[in-house]
Amino acid sequence: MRAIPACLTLLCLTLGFAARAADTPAERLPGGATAYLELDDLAAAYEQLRASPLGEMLPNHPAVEAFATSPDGLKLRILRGMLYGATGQDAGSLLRSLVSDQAAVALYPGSRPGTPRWLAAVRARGDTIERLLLIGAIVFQWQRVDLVPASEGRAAVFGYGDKVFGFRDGDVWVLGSDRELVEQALRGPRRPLSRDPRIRAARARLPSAHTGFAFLDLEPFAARLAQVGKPPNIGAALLLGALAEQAPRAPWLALGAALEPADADLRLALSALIPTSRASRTAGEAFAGTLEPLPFDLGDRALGQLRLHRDVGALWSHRDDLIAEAGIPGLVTFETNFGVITGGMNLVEEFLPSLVGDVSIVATRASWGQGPAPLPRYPQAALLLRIREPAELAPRLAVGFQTLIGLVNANRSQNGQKPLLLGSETHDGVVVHSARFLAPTPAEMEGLRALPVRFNFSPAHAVVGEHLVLATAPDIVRELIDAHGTPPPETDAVNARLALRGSEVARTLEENREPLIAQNMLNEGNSREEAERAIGFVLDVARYIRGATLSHESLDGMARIDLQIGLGAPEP
Amino acid sequence: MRLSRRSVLKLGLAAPALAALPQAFARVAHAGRPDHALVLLKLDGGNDGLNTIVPFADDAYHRHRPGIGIPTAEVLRLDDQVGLNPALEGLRALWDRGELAVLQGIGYPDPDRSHFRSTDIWETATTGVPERWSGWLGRALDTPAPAGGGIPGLQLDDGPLSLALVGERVVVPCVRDAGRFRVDGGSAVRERLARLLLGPSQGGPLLHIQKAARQAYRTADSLERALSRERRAADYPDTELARQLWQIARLIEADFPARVFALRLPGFDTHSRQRPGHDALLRTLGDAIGAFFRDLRRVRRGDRALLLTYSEFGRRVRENRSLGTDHGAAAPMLVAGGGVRGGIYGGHPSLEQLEQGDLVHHTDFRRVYASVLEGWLGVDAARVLAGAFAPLPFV
Amino acid sequence: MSAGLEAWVPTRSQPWDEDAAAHLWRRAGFGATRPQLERALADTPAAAVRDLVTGPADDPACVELESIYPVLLAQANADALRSWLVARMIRCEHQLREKIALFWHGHFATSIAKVREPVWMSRQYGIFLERGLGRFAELLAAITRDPAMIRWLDNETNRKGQPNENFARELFELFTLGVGHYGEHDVSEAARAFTGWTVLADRFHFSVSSHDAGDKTVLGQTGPWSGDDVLRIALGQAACAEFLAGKLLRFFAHPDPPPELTRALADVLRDSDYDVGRTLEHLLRSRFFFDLRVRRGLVKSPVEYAVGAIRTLGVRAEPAELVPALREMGQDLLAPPNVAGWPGHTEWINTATWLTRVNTARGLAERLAHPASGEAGLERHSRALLGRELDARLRTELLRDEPLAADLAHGLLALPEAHLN
Repeated sequence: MRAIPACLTLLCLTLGFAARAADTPAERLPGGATAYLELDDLAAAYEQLRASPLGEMLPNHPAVEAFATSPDGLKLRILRGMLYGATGQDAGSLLRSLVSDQAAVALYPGSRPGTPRWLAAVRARGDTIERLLLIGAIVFQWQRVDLVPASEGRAAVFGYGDKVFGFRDGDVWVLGSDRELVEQALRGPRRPLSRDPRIRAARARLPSAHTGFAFLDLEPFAARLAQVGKPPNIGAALLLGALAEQAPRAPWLALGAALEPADADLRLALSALIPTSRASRTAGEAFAGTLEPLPFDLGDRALGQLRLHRDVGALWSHRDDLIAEAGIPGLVTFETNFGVITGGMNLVEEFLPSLVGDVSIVATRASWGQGPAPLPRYPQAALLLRIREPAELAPRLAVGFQTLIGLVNANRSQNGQKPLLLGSETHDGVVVHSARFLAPTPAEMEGLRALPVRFNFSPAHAVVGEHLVLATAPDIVRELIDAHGTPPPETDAVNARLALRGSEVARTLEENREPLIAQNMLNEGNSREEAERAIGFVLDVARYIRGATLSHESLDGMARIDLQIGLGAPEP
Repeated sequence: MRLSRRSVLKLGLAAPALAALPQAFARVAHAGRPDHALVLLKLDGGNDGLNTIVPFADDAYHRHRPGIGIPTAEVLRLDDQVGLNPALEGLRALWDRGELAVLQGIGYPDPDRSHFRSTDIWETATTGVPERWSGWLGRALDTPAPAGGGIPGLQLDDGPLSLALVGERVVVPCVRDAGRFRVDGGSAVRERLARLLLGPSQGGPLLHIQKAARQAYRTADSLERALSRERRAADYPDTELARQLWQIARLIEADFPARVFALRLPGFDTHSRQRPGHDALLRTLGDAIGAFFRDLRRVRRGDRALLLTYSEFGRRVRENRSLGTDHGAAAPMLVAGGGVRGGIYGGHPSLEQLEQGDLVHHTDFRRVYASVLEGWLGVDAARVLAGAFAPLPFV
Repeated sequence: MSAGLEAWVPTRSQPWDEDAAAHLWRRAGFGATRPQLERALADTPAAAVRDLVTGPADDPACVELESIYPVLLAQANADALRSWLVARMIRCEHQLREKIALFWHGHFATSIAKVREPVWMSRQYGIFLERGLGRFAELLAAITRDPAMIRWLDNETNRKGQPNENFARELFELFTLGVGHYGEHDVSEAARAFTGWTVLADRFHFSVSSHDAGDKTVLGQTGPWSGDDVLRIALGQAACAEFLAGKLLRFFAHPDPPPELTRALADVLRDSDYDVGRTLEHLLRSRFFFDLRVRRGLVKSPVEYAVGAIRTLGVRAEPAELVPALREMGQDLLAPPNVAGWPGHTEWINTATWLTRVNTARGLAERLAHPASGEAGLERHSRALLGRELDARLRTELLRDEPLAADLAHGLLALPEAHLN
């Protein structure tokens, strides 16, 4: 229980900050920390977020108002009341006075495992910290003692029992769990944390305008991280790429966060950085390199895109090194079935070597027009693989697709399920093969207000230009054929990239409001009213998200993962 | 010594009269001991019997399998006719100790080549339309009900539960990890709940529940201690099957009440490029079984477990054009354990007289079941199998 | 036990009290919420039973759940449909309707393991909800035409000249008469009557060309019988009413009911033209049903245990989370273990299922809507869950080390007594 106020104090402290002069709070922290967090201009970020359209919408949202009257909301209000009573400030201004400029907090190894020592340095205005310490002292009956009197040019060191030690030097406060660390900070450490070569290396590779910076030494966790297994299947191995091998072996991890204006919107940028020097050669070969532009421009239609630069052939041949043992039998079966389906095409010797470059998945919203639509309504997606000799492979792949549908049908009929009907059409000179379900019987539709979910799937296949396309619906294949030839402007050279368009995601969610409400009622045990409010909140917030991208790139000796989220006013 | 015994045993199959004697002896010796455990391992997908137990001396084998046949020089010879696939090196020690039985030519009339249908036949032990949706071991465990509502059997994977273990009354749990049998919250919570059972027993359903609860807390306690013996896991290969067998060894060591453990090793549907994948599976199989029995012997439980493999069917004799094999019929089964009379039972089916390109069985699979039921589990086989099937003398 | 089907009249020594009302709601439903208990006690037992049979005039929670059903059907996800059934049991006011549907699900035990179509399974359950308290003849006729049942018992392959006896056998053995009241010949003859009863385009279809229209002799009656004739003949057997009465008694009242009581209830069934609701009304208000030795004489099924804990203790339930827990406890809805249904009573509890019960209970105890600890908490929760107070030894043991509210409720749920119905 005692840990809670300590953490609370710590939290408040880390939200506070100071000037960029030589004597920044961060300079006070000695080296040797296992974890380090630095915040800069958080108050400004908070104000920006509050002034953004989303920040204006949130406090007045019915779901937030409903929360305020719930038992949990009540507890929060009580806590805010207590803080007001103690500091004379409401939560907003309390935060603003604490979160001024700069704060730094670090954890150091303790005498026993699991009990780290902490040290924090903040620049804070007014007497807010003094008051917060007072709350701690009252609630936990810590007694304040002066330990080292002030001397020439040096601040006095005080202690609250044996829990918290600290000193105040002008508007810089230093607090810590360990008297020795505090006294080091008072003298000014000989080797401050900011000069740790690892931290310097990390900073050099993160965007400079960060609001927050965090550093975590992973050596203490090395034994536990070493137990992180290989990815369980090829999908996970493809997705994670070299990170699957690198991340569990990384000696440390650094994180950066920034909130910055971008045009009329706000952009939240998060970056993670790990050194990769210990990554194995296998993964390096199969995954190194950067994405090529994809010669399809879906424009506003695009809902999302996942692109991975992967050598699938190399992945396959090194599969024993890269994929968990449990996933291997599935691959053996797949290899076998691939031969059967394609009429004897050898997966390893013929098909995989013909793949070049990238693995891409694109998704768009399915349009059902005025006709009946299924529920839930899934986006349509297409897998794109560039192949070396499209003209030669296309007919064999088409046969393979048809055989696959035949096998699926055999399996479905064995299970008494509805079969798929094969068909093909020509769109702009490209043959699109597809399979669809027969219209539902009147008996099946009894009591249904939408088509059964299987109507989301109408597997389709085509070879478009140099790309093999496998899709969940022929519509997206036609869209891709129309969009072929014009690579969209995409300049960043990254190894993997996931991009989502907020407006399309929001519309997709909106189309599925009813199934989401049903799911919420069954998952949370909510009444319909509660479920509608909860889902309404998610949908409303989603409308303020312009888009998100997640990318991975390899810098010299480092792997960086960037997440960017754009926030702005919803489209009308 | 071993040679002569094996030749006697081979005779035994041809002449059931001869077999009756050791069989009767076996029944007296240890049939139905409540601490006998059966480990049932399904080679999922249809194991290629011909590349498992290789009839290397038969020219027809090499003729039918120019691309995927095991060269005679590589075969681990069991006698002058057949031998093990070299990937089964891990079973050699068991064979040398006389604790591995190879049952050849096992199958059933009118073989079905659908994975699903044939699995149903093997697991329900009925060849017609099953009257009841229950399995041979489920029925075996149905009576008598396990004392104190203990766990009658256990399947170690994500499920679904093997039809073989579906009973009319018993419920056999199916978990990926035997460590799931615990009271969440740890031993402190468990002990607190166990203290609540101290109340008076009034008989009737309440007594039943109290017994089951007490048994459950005891089981969870013994499991927790059994499975915390991490050190011996090092002797096993790093495979899922080995991990599961290690758990079973710990359960047997801790006198866990379950009598049947079921496992699946998937991936045997080898239609193309069979050799590398199939060999890897056999290596997984042989090494894990070898480690399992080494482990059991070390903890003096070597004669407590009997491991039986089965597969829904064997594979076509002639290899296909993708260097694989298609669904077939008769195939061998492997039985291992300290209580097993090692040797080869039954001749290898002819590679010349085939039915639709498949081997013809000479021994009904239910005779194997009857042997295990009567000789190992001490259950009335005629009741479970709804008919009389002459047992084989391997237990 | 001398008490019979005559209506129970509360006495001073055996009053219409909380224990009696809670017993009624545990058996005829999944436990009473506090307001339901209070409403029942303000009335006579007969009126309380009547309310359970007829159901409330409006049931807003149930209407709300039904509003999402069409979406769930389109989704065709078996676990979502299962959690919908669980949500109904938790929230619908007309508890006896939910309870009898579960009874019929075990009686006409059909499993998705073979049927494969979640929507078919759900629609079959819909028949139990809709007709469960009506006339058995109508229920049986609907089930015989139900696509899930037809697939489950292979009637799709029951054709003239190649009869499949699966359905006919279970009709006699498990649905209407019980072993010993029919012969092999009756099965094969009845199978012929059901030839051509199949499924086409998701609905029942009678295929004239596959139907064997010849004469059959079923249970001593000869004629060119159709499937409906066989149902009529089966329902006309004396054994049918007794078989059903016995099953109802074992589910609602007693694991081993006295034969004379079974016969008496069979008479009620026959006299009411197999009206299940009226028959149950007789049983539920009888002296036998309220006999002290009958109370807590059954073992709770996993559904009764979990849903009962939620309703009586007031747990903020998450139905979707209960589905896998119920499966582990041995009651996977829509997937009974075989055509004979769940064995029930003491078979519910063994080492494995006990552990899943206490682990599930832990999750429930942590989500009490109004947690209370100490003496007061023990008093409140034990009355709600068990309908009565505990003896001193157990009280001491439960309160040892000043447990938190969740630990206290967990302890109560782990008492063997909490697993008795």
